[in-house]
Amino acid sequence: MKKGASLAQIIFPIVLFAFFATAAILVILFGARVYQSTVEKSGDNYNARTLLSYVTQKIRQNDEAGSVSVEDFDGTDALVLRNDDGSDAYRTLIYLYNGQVCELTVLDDTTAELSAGTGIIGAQQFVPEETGDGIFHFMCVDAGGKKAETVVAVRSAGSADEEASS
Amino acid sequence: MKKKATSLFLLELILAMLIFFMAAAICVSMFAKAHEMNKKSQELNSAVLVEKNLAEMLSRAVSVDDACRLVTQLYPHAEISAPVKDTGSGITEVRIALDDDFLETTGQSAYQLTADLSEDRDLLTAGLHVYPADDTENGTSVYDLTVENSLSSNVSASAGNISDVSASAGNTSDVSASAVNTSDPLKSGTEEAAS
Repeated sequence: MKKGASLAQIIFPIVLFAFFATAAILVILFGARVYQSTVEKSGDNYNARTLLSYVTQKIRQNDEAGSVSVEDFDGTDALVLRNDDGSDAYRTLIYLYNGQVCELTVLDDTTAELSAGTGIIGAQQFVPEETGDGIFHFMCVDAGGKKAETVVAVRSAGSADEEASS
Repeated sequence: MKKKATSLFLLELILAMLIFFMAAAICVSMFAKAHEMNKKSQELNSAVLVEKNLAEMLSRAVSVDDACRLVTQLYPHAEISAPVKDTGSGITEVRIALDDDFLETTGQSAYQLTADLSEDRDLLTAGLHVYPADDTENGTSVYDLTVENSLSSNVSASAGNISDVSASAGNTSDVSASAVNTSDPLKSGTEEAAS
């Protein structure tokens, strides 16, 4: 009887300690998982949205009559932003190449290759589209497969129409 | 002596466990709260983005009918209700079903984007709201944005400035703002959302 009681006295604290240790590990694992999911979700769409914000800002910077368009560049749809510094005319192309959205600024009359651009951000898809009425629609799927889209209405679209009609 | 030591150890262990479980309960509730806050901030970000997209489309409209045409370019499955002229409101309501990623869906919607369009003289007013699909009736929106756009500026082919934008997040009545001639409705909206 005494022997059984002393055995229980040893086993019970051990079982209790094992339970305590398991619970501690479970809480740590749960916390880590919640933290991981929070960080993952915060990062969700980050790349796609960063890219779309970048494109929006580029359009805003170049929002002059007729300077924003979507054109074919070496078989790929590219956002083309034209500007003129007074002496030379330049065009900035933003397009998808080799899993990267690239940017390339060249003299307007220069021919260039897709590979000449500088990678901005990784993306699976980048679809610029001019829907008319001075509205541009951009859809992109980032490297993680998250899809995002944005719409940019060009403020100078009306001025372009005026210039064309006059 | 040995028995006393074992009892003390046991008591110490039980006390440690008690403290641990209290701390764990607090931690778990904080994790749940962090998860919920993260979900809400994501919801708000996405709602701001879809409403900003719609506001951009509306900035080019020359009438309510034209606004509806532009909206259906971006959201082909948008439901457009006829304006209720009997009540004098003359508001055209546009409803767009959105999925979890805030993209248009024809299936089970998680959110609903609504636009209340009205025209008064040469001013197009659009009240944009995003509701969780299961909470449309209660009116607890994720984000509200009011866009006022001068139609004459678009008709006369001058720059289509959004002349007045006010926004509020989560139906907080004291959170509202206006920005005259702002070129970016998102900016004022998010600034208010943050405050």
